[in-house]
Amino acid sequence: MTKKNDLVSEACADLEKSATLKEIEDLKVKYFGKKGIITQLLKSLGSLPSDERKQAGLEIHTVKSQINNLFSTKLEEVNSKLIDKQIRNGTVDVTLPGRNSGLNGSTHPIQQTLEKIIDIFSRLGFHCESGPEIEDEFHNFEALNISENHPARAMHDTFYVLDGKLLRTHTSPVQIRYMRQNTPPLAMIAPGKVYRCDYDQTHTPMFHQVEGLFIDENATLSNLKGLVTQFLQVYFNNSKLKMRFRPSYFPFTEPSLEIDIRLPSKFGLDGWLEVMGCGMVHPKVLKNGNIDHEKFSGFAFGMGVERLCMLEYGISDLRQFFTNDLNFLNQF
Amino acid sequence: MKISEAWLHDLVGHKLKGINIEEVLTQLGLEVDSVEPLRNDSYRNLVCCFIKEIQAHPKSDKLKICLVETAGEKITSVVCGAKNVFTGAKAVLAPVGATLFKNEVVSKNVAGVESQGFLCSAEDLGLEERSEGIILLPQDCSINNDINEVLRLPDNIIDIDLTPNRGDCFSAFGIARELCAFLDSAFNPEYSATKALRSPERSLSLEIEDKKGCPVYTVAILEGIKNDVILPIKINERLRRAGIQSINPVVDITNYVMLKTGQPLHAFDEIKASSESIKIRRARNAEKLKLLNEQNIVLDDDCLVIANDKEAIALAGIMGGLSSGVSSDTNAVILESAFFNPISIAKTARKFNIQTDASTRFERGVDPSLCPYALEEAIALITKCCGGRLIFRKVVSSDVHIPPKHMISFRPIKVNKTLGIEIPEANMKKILINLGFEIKIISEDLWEIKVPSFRFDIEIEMDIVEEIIRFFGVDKVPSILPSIKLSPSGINKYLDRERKIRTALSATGFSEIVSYSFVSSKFAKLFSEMELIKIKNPISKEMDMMRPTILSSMFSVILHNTSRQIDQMNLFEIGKVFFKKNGNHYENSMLAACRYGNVSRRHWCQEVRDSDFFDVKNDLVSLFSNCFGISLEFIAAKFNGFHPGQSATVNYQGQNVGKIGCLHPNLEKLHDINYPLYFFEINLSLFDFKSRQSFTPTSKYPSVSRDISIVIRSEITAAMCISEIEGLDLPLLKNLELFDVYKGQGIDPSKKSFSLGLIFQSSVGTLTDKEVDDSVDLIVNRLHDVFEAQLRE
Repeated sequence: MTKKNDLVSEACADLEKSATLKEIEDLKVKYFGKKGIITQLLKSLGSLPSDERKQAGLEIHTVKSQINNLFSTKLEEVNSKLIDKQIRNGTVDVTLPGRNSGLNGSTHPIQQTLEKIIDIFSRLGFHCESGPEIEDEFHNFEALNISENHPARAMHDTFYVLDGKLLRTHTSPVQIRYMRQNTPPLAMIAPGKVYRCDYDQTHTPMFHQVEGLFIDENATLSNLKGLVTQFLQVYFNNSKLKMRFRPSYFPFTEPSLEIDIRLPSKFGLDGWLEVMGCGMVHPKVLKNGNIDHEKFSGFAFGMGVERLCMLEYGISDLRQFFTNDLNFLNQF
Repeated sequence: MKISEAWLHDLVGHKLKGINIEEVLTQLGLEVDSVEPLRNDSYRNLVCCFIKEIQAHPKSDKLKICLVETAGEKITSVVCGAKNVFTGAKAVLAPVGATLFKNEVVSKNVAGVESQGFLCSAEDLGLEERSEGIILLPQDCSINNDINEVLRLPDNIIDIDLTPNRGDCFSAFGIARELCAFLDSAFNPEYSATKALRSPERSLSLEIEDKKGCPVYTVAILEGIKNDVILPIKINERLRRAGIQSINPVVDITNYVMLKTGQPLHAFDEIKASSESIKIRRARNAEKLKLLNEQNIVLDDDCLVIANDKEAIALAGIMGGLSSGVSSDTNAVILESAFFNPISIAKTARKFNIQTDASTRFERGVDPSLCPYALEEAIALITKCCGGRLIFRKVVSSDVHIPPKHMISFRPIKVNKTLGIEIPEANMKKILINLGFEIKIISEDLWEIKVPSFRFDIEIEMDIVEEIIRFFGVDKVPSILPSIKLSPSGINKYLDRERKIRTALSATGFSEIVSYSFVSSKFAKLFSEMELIKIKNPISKEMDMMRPTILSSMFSVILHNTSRQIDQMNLFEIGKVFFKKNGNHYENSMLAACRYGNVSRRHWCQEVRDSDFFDVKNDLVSLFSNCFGISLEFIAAKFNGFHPGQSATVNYQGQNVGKIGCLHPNLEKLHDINYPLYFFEINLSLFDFKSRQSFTPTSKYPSVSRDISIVIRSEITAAMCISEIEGLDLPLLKNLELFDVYKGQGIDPSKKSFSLGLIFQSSVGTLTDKEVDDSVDLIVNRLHDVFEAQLRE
């Protein structure tokens, strides 16, 4: 029995001396290996007389479990020291910069504005359509009640490309294409690029518009005002946005209106700012879209995307949008 | 158009007092661009005076001593150098004690004579930049009159941005008519009475060859005029406030009558025009004319001209000719007041790119019934101001060619139906009548409306509706959202996929650009062999071709940024490209992206390296696989502008969808670019972006991975090897990646080694070593059979 008690103290002393996982592993072999002390003891049980065997077995198992406990305590201690060391070694200055591609990805401000406009109208139930940028005179002018000698053609300085083809001067031709392919009620917007021969601080030969069209049996000017008001309030996130509708002229709408808004003074822009044109679709345009203008009425509206974007961010030079200077782009 | 507000007050009357004209006009659709105030607070104590006597100055021939009488029979002596001063004139006196622009007027010795103040010119009062002579007040002006009243100060110059349909508002009368209608009354313009002409002392044959181009022509000849007089301050001021430059009295009067009535007039010097006849005809082809602005133009038979016996002397309705121009020496004039066809004028004005006050009005439409009235107005003013006598007058008109007055069937109910509000019929009637429309009530639901001759913009029922809403007030129409049948609005699939691409690329460090759709032909040809689409009327030579590839416009953006010390950029753009093929034109939706400079910034624990082909290839491959689950194939190819050893066509399901590669080293050198530039361009319209429709269940059994290295001839590409392996269609092979390429020691110089990582897995059980070995053998054998590949020891 004494021998067995000594065994525990021996193991204790052995473990005291060991420091690494390897040494502990070796000790484990010494005690519990195939030829280990404990294993030998257990094996020797068989040679004992049966009346002693039970008692001796019990004692050996007690010793075994005591030594086992010593081992786990030691292992825990060593492991925890190791982890501590790993942590100490692995401590970093978290304020150092992260690995960095150095690139600030961004989407173009005009695209962001477009998406914002599209989002609002999509949520209102409008379909989003597109049309060709190289248009014919019919869709760009004639079908929209802009005849060859119409004074409005002087307003549109058009780029001509191929015989009878031109770069569309507005997104309104999409109205015609859409009316001809669908039956009322219609609610659609058409965002896209448009082109006019003009180049200075406030004009670029290419810019973006969003066209809108709504046609139903009883669409009225009152509905037009309601819809556009709603849109502008959501766009500028201001339910008290000051706006005014004033009569104007577009060949494709009758009556025609222009919409001005007044922005809070933080925008640094005083006075009324023109943001949209709109009106009731001209009966001739409905006719050109194969829609019965006695049965249906509708309204259309259009806005310059750059204009809205400039108002939103206080950008003064339109040309910046197309210079694509990274120092400009990466702010968006 | 600019107009004096005081003039409008004179025309409309007291009802206009207290009305904000700027707001009213804008609400009527005559948008006021700006209002420039003309104040009277820059001077004080100026008075009207009567020049009683003029004495010679003892020391100077140019100076005169004027004794002037002011209110209360006060006589003041002033020295004056103006040529136009005469005994009996009425003028503006700045007496001692008055102030002009903060300067007090003091008694001053002028060449030895004491001057107690001075007679004012328009320049002195800040009304004109430069003026010759003093302001002469009308004779009916009393010395007791308030000077501010005489000069109509204060005043506002109202600048109205007229829409092209409102030719009728291009005059003081036109605007006054709108204002009167707003104030609920009709405007009745007053014109001068017809001047008597007992018997013509001169004959002039008038021949209108093109009656359609010129349906009405009225003409008068005045002789014995003096064209160096100073016009009444009222006319000068109204013209000046309208921004019309003073030329000489006759021309100023024709301009004044135009500004007042809307009818453009022209005056020819009767002697210079030297003609027994006036012809209104189409120009002869290649006929030449030197215009008043000294521009030489070559005419063709589309142009309408006014001609004498020999040649064209004016471009009808647009500008007169220089040779027959009126000058201050002119003493006889031929006055023209005509109606020209708007379309003909518009065409010609556009052809020569000339825009004048006259052409702008004629293009938009001038009331055809106005010609004789305006002519009389001009005759009356000229004879009054410049003297002279009327010696000839003639009116020729061809009624069939005068635009007919439109008759419009109008249903009052249409107003309510269009606007969504009720407007009482009585209001509608009043509005229309005040605007000069005539109404005939056919039935309760139907009116027949006659459009006044000055309105060229009213053709259909809806135009009448617009007139009513203009005057009823757009503000009074409530804002009510339309109610629609709810239906899910399908998301536009093109926009949807573009949105995905934008989000993915911008999140990985790409900046979106929007570049012009037009480029120089040089840049267009850099990266494309397509047949180009040329712009017939480009802004400049740098922008005269539609881009056949986004790379051609993106390249300029890259160069702009590299020239501004940007040495690292990843850009992308989604947009259209344009080209011709077999006589048809195409516009395709493309995605282009580029990579330039380092992969990353300098970093404390990472090496910096330049981007290379495999970075940009990964940008493209992961974009399509992550966003759309699409895998792309790459085949080496050569393109314009690309590095011949680093470029490939991109295929999708066997179809060519784009290209990828590195900028050609020549271009890199030519454009002084420091780093290699990589880009790709993909035609988005060629993809079938269907969302995933099914899935494969994942296996619950463990996978087994094996790496093998093979030695193979150098010219065999990775894609060739991989497609052979894929061709085996091994059911257990779950994944295959080529993870190493090696050339060098231990390998025949004509060969290379590929290392392949293979992953096997079964969906029905745990794989045995034998099963895996068999599959690996199949692969090795296939590569051996096809490429003579050997397993590397």
